[in-house]
Amino acid sequence: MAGIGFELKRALRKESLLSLAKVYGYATLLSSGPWVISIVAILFVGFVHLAAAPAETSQSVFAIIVTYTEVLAVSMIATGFVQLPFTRYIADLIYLGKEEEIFPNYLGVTAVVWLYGWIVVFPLLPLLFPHQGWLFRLGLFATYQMLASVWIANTLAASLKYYRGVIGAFLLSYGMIVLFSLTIGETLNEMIWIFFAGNALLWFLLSVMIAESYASTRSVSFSFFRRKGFYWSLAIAGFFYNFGIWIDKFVFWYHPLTGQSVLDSVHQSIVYDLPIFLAYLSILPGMAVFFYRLEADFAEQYALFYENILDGAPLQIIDRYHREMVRVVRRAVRDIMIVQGIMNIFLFVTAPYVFDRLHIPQLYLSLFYILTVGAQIQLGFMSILALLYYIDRRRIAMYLAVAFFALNFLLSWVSIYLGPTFFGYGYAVSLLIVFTIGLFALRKNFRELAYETFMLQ
Amino acid sequence: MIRRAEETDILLLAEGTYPYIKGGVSSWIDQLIRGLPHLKFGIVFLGSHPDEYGDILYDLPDNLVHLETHYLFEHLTRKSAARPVPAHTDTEAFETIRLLHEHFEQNRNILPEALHSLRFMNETVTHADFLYGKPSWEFIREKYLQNASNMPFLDYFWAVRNIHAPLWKLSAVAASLPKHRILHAPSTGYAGLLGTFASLHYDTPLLLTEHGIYTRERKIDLLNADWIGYHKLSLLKQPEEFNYIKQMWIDFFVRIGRLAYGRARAIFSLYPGAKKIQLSMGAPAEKCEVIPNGVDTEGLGRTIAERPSSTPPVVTLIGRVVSIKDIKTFIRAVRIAVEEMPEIEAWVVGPTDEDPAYYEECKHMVETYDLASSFHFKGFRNIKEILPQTGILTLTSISEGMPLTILEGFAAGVPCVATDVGSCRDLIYGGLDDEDIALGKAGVVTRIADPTALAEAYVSLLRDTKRWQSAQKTALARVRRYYRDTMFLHRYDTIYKEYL
Repeated sequence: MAGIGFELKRALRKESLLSLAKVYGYATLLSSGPWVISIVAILFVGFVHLAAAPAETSQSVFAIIVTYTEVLAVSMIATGFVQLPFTRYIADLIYLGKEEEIFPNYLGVTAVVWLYGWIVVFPLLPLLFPHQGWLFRLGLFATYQMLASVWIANTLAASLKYYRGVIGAFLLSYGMIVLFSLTIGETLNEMIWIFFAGNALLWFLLSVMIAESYASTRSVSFSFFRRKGFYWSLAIAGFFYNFGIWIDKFVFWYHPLTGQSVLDSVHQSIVYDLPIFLAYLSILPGMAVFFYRLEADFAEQYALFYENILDGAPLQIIDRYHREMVRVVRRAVRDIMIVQGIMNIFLFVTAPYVFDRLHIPQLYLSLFYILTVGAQIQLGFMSILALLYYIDRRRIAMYLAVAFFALNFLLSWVSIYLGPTFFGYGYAVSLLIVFTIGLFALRKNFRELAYETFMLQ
Repeated sequence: MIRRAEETDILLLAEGTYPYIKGGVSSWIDQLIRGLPHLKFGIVFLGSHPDEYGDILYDLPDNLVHLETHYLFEHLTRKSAARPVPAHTDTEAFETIRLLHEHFEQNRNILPEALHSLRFMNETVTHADFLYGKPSWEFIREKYLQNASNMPFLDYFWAVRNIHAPLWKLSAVAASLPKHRILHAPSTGYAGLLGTFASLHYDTPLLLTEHGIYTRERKIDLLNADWIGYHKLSLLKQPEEFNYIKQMWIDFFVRIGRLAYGRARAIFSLYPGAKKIQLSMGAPAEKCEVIPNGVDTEGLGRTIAERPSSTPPVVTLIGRVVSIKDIKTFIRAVRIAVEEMPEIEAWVVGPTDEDPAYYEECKHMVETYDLASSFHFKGFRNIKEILPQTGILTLTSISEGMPLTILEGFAAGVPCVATDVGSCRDLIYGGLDDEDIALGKAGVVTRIADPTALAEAYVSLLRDTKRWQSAQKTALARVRRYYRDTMFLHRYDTIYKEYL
């Protein structure tokens, strides 16, 4: 007969659907936990030192802690560009079944980060620290290199979901830092090398974990950098998000009205630093809740949604899982609000007493309050970004991250001129803005998830 | 675009046939173009996917001045690099689609007003609107919940996409056709739909010739198809007739078939039986006419001189070795016939590579039946060599349209024993008019899958020389009177003149 034989290739459509589902399995939030741990640990070192050490050494201890914090910030921002694309690349490798490529690429990325340190950071050392000896400069540089490698290892370990191992490694190495800095750390040089040693141990532990899971015959691979589809939107999003969470601190450190030099180029802000780091302490419970919700509930619903589509469920069932997924997200956001709200009330009530016991001037209280609110919103913002990455909305996440950076920079700067009562509002208001926009973006994208899954693949 | 002309007289809309596929329709097209050298022909070839077609299989005649090819399901394997962007569809325009659906559900023969202009599909609601637009998504959801709410949505969704995708392709093809004076579609289906679109767009007459009954064959295809996804647990599986997705496809072909019937100025079929089916499928009686195929009676007639003096005891089946030809029944019949007439030989002339598994089974059967010395698969051969050595031509098919081989056999003076399918009865016993019947019997017609009756016919015709000669006489008279190629060409020439 006339007529075309149309054997439609059904396999095709499955493939394209799955390629959308492959993004499943990575999230930024997972990797942002540990940096809170490190800040908390470092604060802890500071407090214990201040409490235990004689007054004359406390000045140098304080300087080293501030310095370390800034190295932490710079290393995070510097690696922010590769962290997310690398996580995504790992997810792609796992999806393609090329797991043997993971470890060589991990070493490749680390090597590039180190090279970057030698080329860009190393030459700056004499300029930034003109009054320090090379022993200190080298210790600082080595610490920077280790921290940068730790962030890469941390992203990888977190996206491979070694939560327990990662937390254990952080606790062990920072425990060691605390222990040694209390027992043998007296001078700047000793302290910086102790920090280096702690991070080296941490990096080693994380690398062993990764190497054990993903044995490989090759040693180093740079295919991550060579691939055509480099995820630029993720790179930009990661960079500006990391820069964004530090930019208000940098503004307060380096603005002549609020900051002063502690150690050559390293600045501190007496008004801003303590309250903001204390505020970060407050979001730990909310973070734990969100982790749990994301992992236990959302991941399951998300998988169910896609599995049902592929298994040929009727539309009503697909819609039901869709609604269920949205409900889980809503509940996660609500739970964070509730847990953080309770935490905040508790903090607001007890803060005057705690500040008194720690000999922190009551002057800082109002700043602490607003920064606590800001930190809470930052947690919400982080959660939104994590969910957006989860459903592969990279572009909107990138816009949000850039907006966050720009707003936080601008508003923090403006707040300094508005006077001490407005300190902290730059940070909180910028987060409130991006969080609100993010919520609407999330709502729109989740609503249209079924439409986009079917129609726009 | 293989050949390009600004202007043609007749534009043939060939779906899955000439010049890339061999077969009845293709030979018909080849005959038609070569037979009417004073007309300029163009061909619009519609295929499913480029991978499925090889080289051009015919020498293209000089008066075929235009040949363009289009593939309706090409998009299925093309990987687009960019992520599709949502289309901003005009929601109001989509309301027209709703009206269209209502229109089609009433099984009307004419295309609704909105589609009379190709602008609707090429500009107002484009393929991108259909694929990526929100209103389209909402509409698909709505129709699913209304009609198919128990089907796997994924399958429904893709069925909707795949059914609709060729429509935009066809409307784009229709918009860019070369100048023509007559559109002639050798089938309904996509070719008929393209003809409908183009005929409305250019206001040119559409003619339709059906060789098989496209819609009915599609139905059989679809009911047997296993590519239409339906993966429910087997316990929950419903009988085939409840498979809504198959029903969607069938309805689609039924409706586009009716559109072509509605728009065509004249509808031709090859034999009276086919016309009856066309009428039952909604073709208006006043448009329907039978124009039988014709064969080269003179060329074939010359082979009679090469025949040996006594009738060779050879029964030949000319056709592909595939299950629809029911070669196995032929083997059984030969086994029975050989019991009575051991000198009988059986030949199967035709390609064996189309369904290799079936061919193996047949060969195995020949061995088991101990027929190796009398049953031969000859492969592809020139019929002018085969026919003079043949005593009886046979067809044991379970389905046929109008088999040209019977006519070719007649023209070469070979009677025929065939199963009662398609137009076989008309050809062998006469069926065009009373005079045709009066010519007598040019062989025997049996029921399908009845080897005993077939064997009986072979033996009695070969043994009874008088009867054989009378059958030959009838065969020659009938083919010369009703089925000369010159007659069929003359008919089409006259019809074309009428519309030029």
